[in-house]
Amino acid sequence: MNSRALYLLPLLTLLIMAGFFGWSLMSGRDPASIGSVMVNRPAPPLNAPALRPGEPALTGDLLKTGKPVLLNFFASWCTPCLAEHPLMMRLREREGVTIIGIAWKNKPEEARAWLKKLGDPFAYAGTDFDGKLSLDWGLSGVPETYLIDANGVVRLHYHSPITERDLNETILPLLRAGK
Amino acid sequence: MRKRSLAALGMTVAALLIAMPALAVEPSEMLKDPALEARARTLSRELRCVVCQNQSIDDSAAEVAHGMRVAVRERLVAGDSDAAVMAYMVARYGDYVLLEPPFKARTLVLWLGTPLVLVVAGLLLFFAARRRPVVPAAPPPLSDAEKERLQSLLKR
Amino acid sequence: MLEFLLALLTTATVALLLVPLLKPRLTATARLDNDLAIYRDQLAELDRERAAGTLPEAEATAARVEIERRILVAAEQDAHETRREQSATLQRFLSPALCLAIPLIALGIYLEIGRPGLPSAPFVPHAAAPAAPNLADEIAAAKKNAAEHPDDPEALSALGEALTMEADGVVTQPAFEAFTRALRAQPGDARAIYYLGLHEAQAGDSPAALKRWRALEAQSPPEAPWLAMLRAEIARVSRESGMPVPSQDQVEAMGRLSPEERQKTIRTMVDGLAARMEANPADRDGWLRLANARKVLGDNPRASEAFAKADALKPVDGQTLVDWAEAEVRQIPPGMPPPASAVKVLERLEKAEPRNALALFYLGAASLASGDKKAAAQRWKTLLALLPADAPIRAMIEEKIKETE
Repeated sequence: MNSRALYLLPLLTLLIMAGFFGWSLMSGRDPASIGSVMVNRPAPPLNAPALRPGEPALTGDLLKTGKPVLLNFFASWCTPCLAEHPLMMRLREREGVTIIGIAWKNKPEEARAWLKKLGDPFAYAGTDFDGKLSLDWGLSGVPETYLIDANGVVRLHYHSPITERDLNETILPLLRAGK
Repeated sequence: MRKRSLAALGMTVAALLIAMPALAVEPSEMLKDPALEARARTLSRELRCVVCQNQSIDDSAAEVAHGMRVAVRERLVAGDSDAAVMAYMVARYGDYVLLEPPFKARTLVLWLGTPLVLVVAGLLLFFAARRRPVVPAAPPPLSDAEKERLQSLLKR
Repeated sequence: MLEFLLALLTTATVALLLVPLLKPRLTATARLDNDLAIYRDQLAELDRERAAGTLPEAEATAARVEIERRILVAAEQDAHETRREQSATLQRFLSPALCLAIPLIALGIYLEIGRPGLPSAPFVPHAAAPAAPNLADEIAAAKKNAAEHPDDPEALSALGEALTMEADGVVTQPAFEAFTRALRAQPGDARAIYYLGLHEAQAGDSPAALKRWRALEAQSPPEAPWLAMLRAEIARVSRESGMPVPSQDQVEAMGRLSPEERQKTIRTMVDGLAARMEANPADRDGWLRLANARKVLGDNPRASEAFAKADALKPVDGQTLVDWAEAEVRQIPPGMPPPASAVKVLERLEKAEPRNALALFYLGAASLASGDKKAAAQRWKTLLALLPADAPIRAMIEEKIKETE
């Protein structure tokens, strides 16, 4: 090997690294994104006490009605949940989507007051005060949203509040296809 | 005498308290069985808190880390082996939950990249050192005029 | 006393700055003497090592020559620098200049902004300050007011606004209902329109929000106080949803025009789009944009045409179908049944949304015109069941149902 070429090696290494960092910055890849192992797996169990008094407790049967459903974990103390809330209302009011809500690490009375104040988009609402149910769903925080198809298989798992783009480009097409 | 030993004990405890790092594990979470608790702590140090990048659930005060610590202890009390507990977590959160990534085809670069660079760099250095002449060529001696100037400078 | 303190502070500052400047600098020749001492040490060290036999002869000779050459170079540099330093007179003037400039500049600034006569602020207990209006009280007051005046758009909008503030700016379901009632009580109420648009934007329907806001922008008088905020919100939602947004220049140019001129400019822009579409008829999104623009301008026949073009490329659905149906029915002369072209669109809309009021109303009229009284009655009865009890249109529909009997 020519020894002069050898001296270019550090520069070349630097260029490769700069190229990689540049690509990571431009590609919009989120290195902190967790990914989900739940997607394309049968839904985990869904046994939770009802949030609203007088309603029956939630069971896994709710996920096997032959219709796709959304499962949304929320909490009254969570600001992103507040920002996401109007989208949930729209999904219920205008698109007629069945949404199951689970209040995560949230006192039931506080979660109920929150829903009363903002509007209640949930066809079924449960509570997971100690976070045991959410562990089976691989939940890392709130808000997180799952789409479970007509056969009870998890198809989507959002680790962040859903956005207009998620709604229009992914969730609604999938829901319409599932009907 | 008794008083003094009590004072010394108090100081030792105080020193220990100061020296201990802040722990996220809350006393209410701990198991009564010290052997099980020790296993739980070891496992907790190998599990990543999924919302805090590079902290183990043992170090993290996040809500989800608390839930995971409790779950680890519950599995252990139920009689799970250490490997079964880790598998339980991986089934829910994926490989991401392991602070030490598993050795797989996908993580080959991660595991072998650094040693490979080290070996290659070492080889390159070795060959470069062998090619270099050991004794430097003798520099040309000073001319007479230069010697004269030097003498006058050194005498100042 | 104060003047004396100020003088003292100024003197201290100047003195601090001058210390490093006035310090006698190391002259070049003194530096050479230092260097020579070091080199002499190095040569002595070399001799010692050679005598002790720790350094091979050849290396020692090379090192010696190296040091000797450095000595020669140092001496040359010294001669060079000594010459230069003698000419550096800047040093001599810098210190007195700074001594004068610093106090003068400080004095200038003080004379400009200093307020020696300002009295010290008196201590005021908190209770004396006016109490900040409590958000909870405000909401309670707004609720009470709205309950007492259920048809007052002002009270309803105030209630909606209070509920929105309570939810940190999210237009909640109760707030949405309050604004909807306010708008029904007073069509064109700018505050209600603005918040209803915000609700649509937050619910992930940016196109609807932008449509509502653009209409409000067009109907607002140029001096309306909300225009600046409205335009900022239009720009924000357009940006976030990736919709095309007119450039700031275009917006400002539009703002300066009279309403007639503005309409004309918009028409020119839309005609430009139409010309582009003729050249590129396979652009479905372009046809939809054109159709919406024509509809907003009130040119419903050509809006319908553009919708049909887009529909031919790929069948439209959802809100677009509703928009198309609206453009169709707006062309119907009052009291006449919808023509076949409109019926086709309305029937598709009814199929997609069986409870769509627009489709039920006009298809009922179409059924009656074609002699199918039963179908007409059925559609209008469905429609009646959908309407709120206090909807003013009820009477008219009940009237029409009677006609079918």
